[in-house]
Amino acid sequence: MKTIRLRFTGTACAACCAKIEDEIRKLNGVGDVSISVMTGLVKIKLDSEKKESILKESKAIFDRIEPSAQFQI
Amino acid sequence: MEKIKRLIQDDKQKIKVALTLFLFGLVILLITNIRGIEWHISLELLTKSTFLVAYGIAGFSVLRTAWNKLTQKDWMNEFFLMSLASLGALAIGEWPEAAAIMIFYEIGEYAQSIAICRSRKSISDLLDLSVDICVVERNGEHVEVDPSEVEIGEIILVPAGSRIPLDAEIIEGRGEIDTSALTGESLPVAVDVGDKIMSGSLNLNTVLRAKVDATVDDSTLYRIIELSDEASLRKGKTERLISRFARYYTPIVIVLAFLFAVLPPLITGDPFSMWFERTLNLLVISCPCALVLSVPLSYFSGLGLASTRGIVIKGGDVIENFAQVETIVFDKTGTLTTGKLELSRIESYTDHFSEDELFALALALERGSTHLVADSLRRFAEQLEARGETVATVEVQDLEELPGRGVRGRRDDIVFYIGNTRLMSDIGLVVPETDESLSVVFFAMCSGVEEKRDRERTEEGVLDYLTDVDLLASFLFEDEVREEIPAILRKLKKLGVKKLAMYSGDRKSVVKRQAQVLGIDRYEGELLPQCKLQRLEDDIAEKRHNMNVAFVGDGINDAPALSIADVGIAMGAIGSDAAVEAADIVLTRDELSAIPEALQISRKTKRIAVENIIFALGLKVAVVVLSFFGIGGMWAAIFADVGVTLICIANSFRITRGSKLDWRHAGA
Repeated sequence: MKTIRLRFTGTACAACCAKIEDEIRKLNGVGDVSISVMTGLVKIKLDSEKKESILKESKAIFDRIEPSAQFQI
Repeated sequence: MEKIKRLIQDDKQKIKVALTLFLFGLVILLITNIRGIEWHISLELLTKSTFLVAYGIAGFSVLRTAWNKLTQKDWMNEFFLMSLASLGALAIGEWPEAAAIMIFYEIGEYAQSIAICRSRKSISDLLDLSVDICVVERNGEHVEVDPSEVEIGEIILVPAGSRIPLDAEIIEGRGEIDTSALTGESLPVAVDVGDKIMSGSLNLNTVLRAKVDATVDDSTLYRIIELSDEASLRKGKTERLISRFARYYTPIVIVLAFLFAVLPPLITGDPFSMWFERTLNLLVISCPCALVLSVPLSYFSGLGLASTRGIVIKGGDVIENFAQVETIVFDKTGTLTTGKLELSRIESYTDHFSEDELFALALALERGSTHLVADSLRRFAEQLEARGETVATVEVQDLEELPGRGVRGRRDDIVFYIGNTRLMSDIGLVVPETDESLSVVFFAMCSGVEEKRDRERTEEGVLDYLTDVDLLASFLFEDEVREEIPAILRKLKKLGVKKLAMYSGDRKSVVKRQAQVLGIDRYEGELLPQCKLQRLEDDIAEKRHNMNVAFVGDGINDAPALSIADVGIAMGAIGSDAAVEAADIVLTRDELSAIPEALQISRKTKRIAVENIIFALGLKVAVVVLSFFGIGGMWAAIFADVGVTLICIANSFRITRGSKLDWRHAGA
């Protein structure tokens, strides 16, 4: 397990962030995830072997739930 | 076309234009109503088109997002519901309402992003304190470099009037620095050679030469910024509960809306159109945003306020736990007392050594120790030398620290012991009565140990091994409580902290006297480090349901206690990795008065978060009930949606506002 931090901008929707958090948590290989709408921070504890696919899926989740947010990998 | 596109993308511009059009439309409606002007077809077209354009400008992005999501078969979101509500309003001819739904929705969204930016200000203010260029001495020259290129141990020059770029220790210069941005201390702090200066402070009046202690990434300033960022990710129970609730909120509203639309007309025979309008009201309040944002917004405002007062709180969960604190356990040294022992006098019981010789020996034995006693002896020696007296240097061997007891060392074939009563009783000495009010360490020697050691193991046992032990002297130290502490502790009691406790390794009589001066309920002295931890665990086991135990330490040797307590508070320990890791609250200033402040901030933050939840939910429930009876209508629903957002945001900002005076006066 390893922890990565990402940033996003462009949304003030707290409910969306909560929804995104839920969906990322359900991804295979994710131990835990926390998203803060206040600081635009995402912290994901993940299986390092699945890192690439998890990042890709997380970005897709962001795009689907909150298209106005820019997710920076 | 380009222009319109840009207009729709710029939130502020969009709201302005749409709102102006909307108000223009309202004015026409009003005038025609009052004057009783006959409703002319052209006037009707004008107002309707005004509202329609306002609707289009404000609502375009919501409608588009709703459509995009719909094509992905996602319709349970606020975009779709807001679109449905406003289109429904248009369908029943309520043009102003339709425009209002979209305009006020956008205003609410805009207010939320402004609120987030504002509450992040405390952190961005900290970022502004960082310095781009710093002057470093290299090969005898002064070079200007980026602070990130400076290494530990290099010498930097800080000109008067500039920010200190890196944590450092002054080696030349004496002056004043302003630490207010990091510690909330409004008065300038006097600094001199040997003092540590924190990055981000402002050097006020003289040039300081200083040796760098930490790289940029490890500097106080960056640690505080990083901890604040990280704190937003640690969520309290309330925040988690509300996000979970938000997941069910939208579906619940949809089901209610559906029931409103279908059931009553079927049962009572009312016309469907009457209930259709009431259904639309529910859709308008379908967005849980204000509710969900208000909690992290409150907490983040609380964290931000605390950080400007020199209190770094590691998360929303900590705010919640600390607001419910029932017991506070203090590590005495360095928190309640000055943390510096002053050698008061030496009582000698021997003719073999003079007092000077005893002192010189003790100094040599404590050479490697970091204990307070050792510090005190070293300081005393420095004072003597400063007065021109010489302190003899003595050679000792085999120095050994005996944790919780003292030190041992050998000179020729005599073994010396310096330590507390426990150590003395270990080596078979009964110590004499000494001044009750002073801390004491005893000095003993044991001659001829080497040749006795074999015998001890074989026949005569331990006692014989110890027969040659002599007590040489006792060193008496003053360990004064900090002046300001009793008032701070009284304040904590007044704030409802039930129990204050102090566990110490010092003499029982000293601990008792200090506890009485301080007004501490529970105290115990002569405890070994592991026993102190045990007492803390007992306190945690005794606490009432939902209440918490906090531990306050200086962060040096108390990482275990900091981590087992519900809330671990490390004082003045922002530079220590272990302390920052183990603690939940880190104080950048070395002042206990930050603790009642932290408690007030936590309580206020939590209270406001709860107020917001109750208010937002209450108003939404009220709209549902009123709509059911056909009272209030669309305008009430729009207010319940946007008004709640605005009021919750304003309420969250109460945390940082108008609170500045409370503790300045209440502190002492």
